Amino acid sequence: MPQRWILHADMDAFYASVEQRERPELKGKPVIVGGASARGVVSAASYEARKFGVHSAMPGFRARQLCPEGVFLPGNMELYGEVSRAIRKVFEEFTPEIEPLALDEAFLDITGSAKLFGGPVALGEQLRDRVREATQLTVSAGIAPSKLVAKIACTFSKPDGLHWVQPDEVESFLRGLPIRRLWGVGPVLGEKLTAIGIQTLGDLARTPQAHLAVIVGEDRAADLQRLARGDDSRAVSVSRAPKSYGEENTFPSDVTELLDVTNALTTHAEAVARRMRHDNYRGRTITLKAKLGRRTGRRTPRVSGEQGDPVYPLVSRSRTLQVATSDGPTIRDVALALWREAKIGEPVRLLGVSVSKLERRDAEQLDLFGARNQTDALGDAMDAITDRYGKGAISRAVDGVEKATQSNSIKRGDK
Amino acid sequence: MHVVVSKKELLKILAHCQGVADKKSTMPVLGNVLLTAGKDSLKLSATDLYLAVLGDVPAKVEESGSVAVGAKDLFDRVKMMPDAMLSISTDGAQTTIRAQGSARRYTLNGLFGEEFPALPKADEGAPKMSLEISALRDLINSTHFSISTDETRLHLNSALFEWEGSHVRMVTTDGHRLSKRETSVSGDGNAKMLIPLKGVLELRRLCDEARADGDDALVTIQQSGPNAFFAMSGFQFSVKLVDAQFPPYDQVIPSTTARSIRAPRAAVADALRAVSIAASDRTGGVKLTLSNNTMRFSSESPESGDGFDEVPVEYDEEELTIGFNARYFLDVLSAFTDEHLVLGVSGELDPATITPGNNTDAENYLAVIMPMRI
Repeated sequence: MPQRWILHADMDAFYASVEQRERPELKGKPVIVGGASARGVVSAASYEARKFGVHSAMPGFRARQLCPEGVFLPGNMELYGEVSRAIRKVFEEFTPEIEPLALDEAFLDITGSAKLFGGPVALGEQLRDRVREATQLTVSAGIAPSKLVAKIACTFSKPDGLHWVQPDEVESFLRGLPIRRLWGVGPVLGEKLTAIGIQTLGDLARTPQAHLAVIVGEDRAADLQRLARGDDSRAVSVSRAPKSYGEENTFPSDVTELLDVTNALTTHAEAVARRMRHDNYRGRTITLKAKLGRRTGRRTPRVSGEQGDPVYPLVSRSRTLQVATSDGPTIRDVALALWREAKIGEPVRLLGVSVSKLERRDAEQLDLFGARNQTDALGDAMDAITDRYGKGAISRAVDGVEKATQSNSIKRGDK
Repeated sequence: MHVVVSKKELLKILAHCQGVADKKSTMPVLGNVLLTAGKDSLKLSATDLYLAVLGDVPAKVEESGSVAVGAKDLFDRVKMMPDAMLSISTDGAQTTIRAQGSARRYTLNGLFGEEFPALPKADEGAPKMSLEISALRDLINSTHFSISTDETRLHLNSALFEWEGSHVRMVTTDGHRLSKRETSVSGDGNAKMLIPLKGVLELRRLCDEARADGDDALVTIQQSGPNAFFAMSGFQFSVKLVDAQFPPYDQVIPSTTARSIRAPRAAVADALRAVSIAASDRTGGVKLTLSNNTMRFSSESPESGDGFDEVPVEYDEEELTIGFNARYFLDVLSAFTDEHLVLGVSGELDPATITPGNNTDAENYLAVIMPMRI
């Protein structure tokens, strides 16, 4: 078998770099995307902003404390999506075997094509050049015999670099790395492992499996040790069928009013339904996610000495329908029913709606009473209008939820 | 309270009480079964406020009284007892079960009987209708599968039970298919009720058990207030009816279909089962094609391949292909026992009908299935 080569490509400070490209006056300035609202989180920080200690997933207020002169931007997902598609086109010049992980990140299996470009490293450099040409943005690349090592190698290449790990270097490359670098080792497991003296991947690989099994169970222990040795045979999965569609938002301030909840769930349900229709899917399981406003603790910080991210209680409720749906009002009604049943009764910080147990929409069960066939037609018609005239050109009047609004206002008046 | 009862008889009633009691309710008392010792019997009852079941076991009553104990706990413990006479006695709300001739003993922390909610009762004057248990069982068995399991759609999450003079009818639909079964009865009555799925399934269990006992007697039905009451072989069962509008089912039953094809029921069922395992992921869609005196079944799944089978039938008109959910079709084929079925079809997007091949049965049973666009 030929030597397997996986390339992990990751755009450098993607959202922030796109913004700097669009507005040259921002070049050299600390640009922070996301976190503009009182409680949003940072979704990207330019390298200038990172010097101040700002990183993604950091709460916005914290970023403002660290970097008061930062340029905070709300983000433009549509534009990022467009650029992402352009990058994907460049990747396709090098191999058809691409597994996108996010808008700015992908695995490429270059085992077959490396030779055509003069070897893995030569391919990697040409790919980086082509991305720069096509988008005026920089990308970093990690090349290694496995996905795990390629991804970690990529972090060593940043920004605007390439890091190559050869098969006989894998073990020494991993040995000294902290355990948190491993996929699947989160803060909780990380702490447990540290507690028994496992600090690095080398420690993890050396620990007798039985010791490890006490903490994580036997199967997991074997998996973790395999990964810690760099033994990762997972293939680049080319066409990842979606498992679920979801939308969520964090409110500028915690909400308690039924009207606000209804509005948020309606918006999410419509957005999820539209995306599902676009991809020709329906789903049967509808999940409501709510993050409560009260804080219950803090996560272990990434960098010691820094304050860890706050932890909020999460409530999640699901219902599986008999028949798959891609109809916004149906999804909304179930989400609202789940909301009522959850009886949360306290301020909520975040609300989300997702649909899973997906089915292709092409096999369609017809309805005896004709109702659902019409709602499908309505959804398709709305999509056609949105496609032509843009988002917001048409939206649903808040049907069927007037009652919620009414009871809400009565409650207010009662006070 | 102190009673002596047979384990076997107690267990039979307890099994139903345990099925009805609501262990997850916000009212913990609903997870209990109420034991009431009367003159020479022990009454057991349970309710989740929608369904209620009450059964009677002959008992030697040493001391009357009542107590409520966890239904599942009691069921599990009685099951573990040797097949013998059991003694159940209380000290306050603490309930002790002993088996005669055995040292095995359980004590359960119960609640005083008064804490248990009162079960609904039929009005004295509510008219009584009587139906053979076997008839009720047939009505349910041939229609229950097309009740919607979607609890947000109450009107479809229930069975329509109609009684007009000497005709009794049960109709169910989940919005994609419909089943209708009628039967003539000797008794007379007039009722129209929507029985929720949970109630239908519990009734089915009670009917099945009455049959297993060789008890082909009558079930007495009363509609009173928001509830319906069913009394049969030692059980009284009540269910809170659904207050909703059943869809206008008559309008979706095609009065005629362009073609009707007679086919051997068992062979069709066999072919469908075989082909459906190759159908696409969860949709279970199977294509049925009629041409040249064959009924062909085919399925395909982009991931795993395809499947094919055919059954000879009498059909020499133009070729016609319709997609169906195989499960809908199979459910119907197990609802009657005739040697043949008659499939009525018009176009590939029109409702199809399935009736039993025997003429008299055909008058009594009808299923409508909407096709699948494949």
